Amino acid sequence: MATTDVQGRAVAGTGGGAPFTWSMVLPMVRAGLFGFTGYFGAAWITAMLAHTVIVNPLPATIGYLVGLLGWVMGSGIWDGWIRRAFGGEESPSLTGVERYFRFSSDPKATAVRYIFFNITAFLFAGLAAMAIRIELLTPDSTGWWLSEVHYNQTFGIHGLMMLLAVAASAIVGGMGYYLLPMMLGARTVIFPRLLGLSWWLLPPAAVAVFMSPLIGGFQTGWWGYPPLAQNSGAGIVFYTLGAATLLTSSVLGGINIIGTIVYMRAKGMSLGRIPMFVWGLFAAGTILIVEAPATFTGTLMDLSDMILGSHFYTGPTGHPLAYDDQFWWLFHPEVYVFVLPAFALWLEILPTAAQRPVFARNWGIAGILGITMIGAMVGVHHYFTAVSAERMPIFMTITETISIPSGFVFLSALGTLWGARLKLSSPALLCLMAMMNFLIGGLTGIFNADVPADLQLHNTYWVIGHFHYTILGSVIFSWLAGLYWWFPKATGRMVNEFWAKFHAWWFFIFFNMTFLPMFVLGIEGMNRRIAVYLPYLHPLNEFVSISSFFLGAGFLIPLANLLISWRSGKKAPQNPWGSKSLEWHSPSPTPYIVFPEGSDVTVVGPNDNYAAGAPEPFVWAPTTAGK
Amino acid sequence: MAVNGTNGLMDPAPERAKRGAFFFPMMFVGIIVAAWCLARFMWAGTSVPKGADFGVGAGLTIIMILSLGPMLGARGKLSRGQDAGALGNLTVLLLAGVLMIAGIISTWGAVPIGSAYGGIYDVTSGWIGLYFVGGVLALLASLMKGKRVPARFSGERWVAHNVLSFWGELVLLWTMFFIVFYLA
Amino acid sequence: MSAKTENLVKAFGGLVVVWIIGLVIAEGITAVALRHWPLIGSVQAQITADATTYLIWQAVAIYVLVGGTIVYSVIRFRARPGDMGPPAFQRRYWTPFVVFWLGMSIAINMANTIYPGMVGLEQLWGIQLQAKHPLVVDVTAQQWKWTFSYPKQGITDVSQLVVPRGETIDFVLRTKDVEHDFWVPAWGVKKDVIPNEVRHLYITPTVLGSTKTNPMIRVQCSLICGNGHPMMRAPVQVLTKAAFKTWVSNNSF
Repeated sequence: MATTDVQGRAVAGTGGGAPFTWSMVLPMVRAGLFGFTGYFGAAWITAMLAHTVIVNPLPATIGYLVGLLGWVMGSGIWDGWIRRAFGGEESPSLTGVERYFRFSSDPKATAVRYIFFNITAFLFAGLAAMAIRIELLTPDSTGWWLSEVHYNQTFGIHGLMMLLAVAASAIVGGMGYYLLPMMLGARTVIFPRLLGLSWWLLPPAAVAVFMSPLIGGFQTGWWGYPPLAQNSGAGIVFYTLGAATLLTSSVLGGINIIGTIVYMRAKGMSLGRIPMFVWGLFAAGTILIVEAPATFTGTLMDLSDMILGSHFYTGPTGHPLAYDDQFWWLFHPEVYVFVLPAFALWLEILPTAAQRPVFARNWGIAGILGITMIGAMVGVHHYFTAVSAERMPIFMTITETISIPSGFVFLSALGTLWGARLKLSSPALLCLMAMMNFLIGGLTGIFNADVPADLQLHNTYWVIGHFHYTILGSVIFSWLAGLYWWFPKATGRMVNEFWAKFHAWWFFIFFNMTFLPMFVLGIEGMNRRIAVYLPYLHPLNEFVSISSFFLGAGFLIPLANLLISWRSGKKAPQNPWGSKSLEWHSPSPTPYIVFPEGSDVTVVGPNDNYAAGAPEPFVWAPTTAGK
Repeated sequence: MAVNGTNGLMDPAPERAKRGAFFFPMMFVGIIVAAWCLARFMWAGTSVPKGADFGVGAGLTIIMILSLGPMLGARGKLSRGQDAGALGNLTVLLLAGVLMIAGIISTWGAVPIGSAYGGIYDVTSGWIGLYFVGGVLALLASLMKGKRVPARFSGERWVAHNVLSFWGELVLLWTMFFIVFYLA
Repeated sequence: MSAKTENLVKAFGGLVVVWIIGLVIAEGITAVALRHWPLIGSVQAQITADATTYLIWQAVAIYVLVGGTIVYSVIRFRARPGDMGPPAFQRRYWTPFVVFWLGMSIAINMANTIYPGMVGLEQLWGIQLQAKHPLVVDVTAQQWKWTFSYPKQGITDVSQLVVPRGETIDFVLRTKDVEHDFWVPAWGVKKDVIPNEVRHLYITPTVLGSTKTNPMIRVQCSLICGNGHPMMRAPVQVLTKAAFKTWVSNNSF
């Protein structure tokens, strides 16, 4: 399958370049140095001018902004972009290993950096989760483990990092930016430098959020609700700035996704032939561009109340509820930014594994786009306990409607599995587990959409269980599935299948043991975000904590598996899964230039026709002159 | 390993695509300002306090509306391929941008930031000011590129086109800002 | 092709068997589990608990039907060694299934919006409207304690919430600093307390008891409010009307 003459052709500039030397890491070191110096220099000068200390909100803000600029400048953006934009010397494209350690306009290098960043952030935020569960081993662990202050900081960091530094870019960043141009038959995205920049915004934001306890931390959890935000520690400036930076990064990616889909599809890649995964990315990008501004403005106004003395949400004239409106305007749809690419991933992997076409494909796409549209109007269900009575029935009805398009995705997946001949590889297994988990996550969401039930369950462990089922249970499962599925594409080697499946089961079992009891805890009256709970909740919490330690420790398995397979895994064949998708038309590992010069692809049929003897959906022809 | 010959291949989007897709970031930055313009009614009702610097605001609006002339002129020249001629128009816009930044800064503090109107005014105008900083830098980049390497300027004319599109959006956003904050 | 179709019909028969067995087991477990529902201490808690339990029955059923189909399909339609080629069944669309799915998902949604959604809300609002002369309790939240005042009874600033059974109470919620959330788990509803705003929460306690007898009967802040958030609790006592009168006469000025 997918053996066209394209793969055999030699391409200039794909030789892999020079082997890795440590000097190639220097731009990253320089970026860190510039960022570090910029932060402390600016914070110190501001503190001197304002007669205060550098851990105060204002110096921290100025320091962060200058540090961010220093970091980005140190990354190589000067010779890679700015110098040439101002008419300066043009620097050559870097095609070897060095592009992974500096600003690069190559979306593949950017995507690989995303994967490393996401894994790192996942491990650190996961350690925070472990700290949280250790705290909850006993009803009151503040004496020997985290104090209430540290506990509050810990779950705030865990939440914000898992959402914005992992879930938001895990599938969209790591897999999406790598595959988007390939799946569409393009050689790169529409604004490659903008995409390159998007990655460089992530590390300083993440470092700032993780380091926020050093300037006083923040007690608000990942919501940043005022007026608590303004009176519980200077760390909130790192929260608001970090969130704003991470959102900007997501939006830069979203712009590239939409622009590439609209303008850079291969010939014949009509809307009906765009791969399902790309539809998921399209949904994520749309949500980000249209809805991120509301939350973006909210975080900046929160910051302004903190450092500039405005009173949007604080003081006797403030409207704290306006922040909730702005915050959830994006942050409810943001969960669809996480999960729609995961849905799309199932519909990309399962047809290949099942060797059947996507069932009711148009309904699946309608589901993804339907969620995108309805999702824009449901944020209010995150604070039913705070809103006026007339808003309750309206947003209850709209929120419950979301389950109809979500169901279409399951309709497509079930129809694809029915009558199939399923090859249960580890990615397919993980996708199916993600579906089982999302089923629980989605069904328990109905309780939170239903106002009467939500008035009791809101802000309890029921909610914690619900969103961990949707995000950890389905997005992270799907992320692993995608990592295993496209690992041969990026590295040319196979992931160890035994350990992948072993961990899938480990993950599935301990995940459910950890989070299923949380629904019971919620019903029994355990509210969220508490370091200390009443003794009657102890047995179940102990069970949850111990399960979670197994769950957390289990992540060392895929980490080791990916690293070892990358070094010494089995060599992957050209198209290990027998997929009909376009990305497998380029050699693995992907060369710098995905599709060689001189030939262009034309799409002549659906890319999910797995019937025996089905025609090839892609035809390669020499580039016509005067394109 | 450095390769020079692949730039065209690895950034193959045609001018139409580069210019068309630029409207997505413009949409994003526009919605932010629109959201704040709406928020002004949320926080400060429809009253404009006495201290508000109407004269400066009106003056800046006139500058912006007048700047449509050089902007449209530059667009026309670029479309006809008269790149050198367009540079003059870009210089005029650059000066207008600097004037706008100075003007915006001068209006701060006219109404105290702690008041409802002052807070939303300062945040919104400050954010638009950031757009102007970005616009001025972009104009400067285009100008310098046009002077130093005219061939590259012509080769990637979409950059200048996008800078002008952004300026057009700034005119729109500033006018909306003026109407919402001074007239409404 | 016809042989294959027949095969799928037979497969569907197997699925129906799986569904029936799964539903019996899962709903059976649910029935046993729901017997251990925690204390329902007010009329409002009954409404919200009814909504929750109804949705649990429904969620378990949907989980078995959809999840069961996934598991069954994976096992039934797995590729056997030596038979790895694509299946003959390659349909992209089967209208009856799609129409059935669409119809069911819309129907379940509309049904859920009406019951328990709108019905529950109407019931909650109904109690509120019918309470002509509720007992008014002023609740003041601050970091990190609750204080209660009974304006008509002349009781001010007590740190313990004492209420009579069987009477609708109008809790008037105010905060001195940040957002809090007034919640008594046994009473089944909660309400955020927002700075610069006054909120009302109507509750009709039905079960006698106190925090000492059942920890579900406690005031608990349910919205993160800073360091002391977990300890922002207050004891509650639900008394008979007569005992409440005695308490009032002992505590008022």
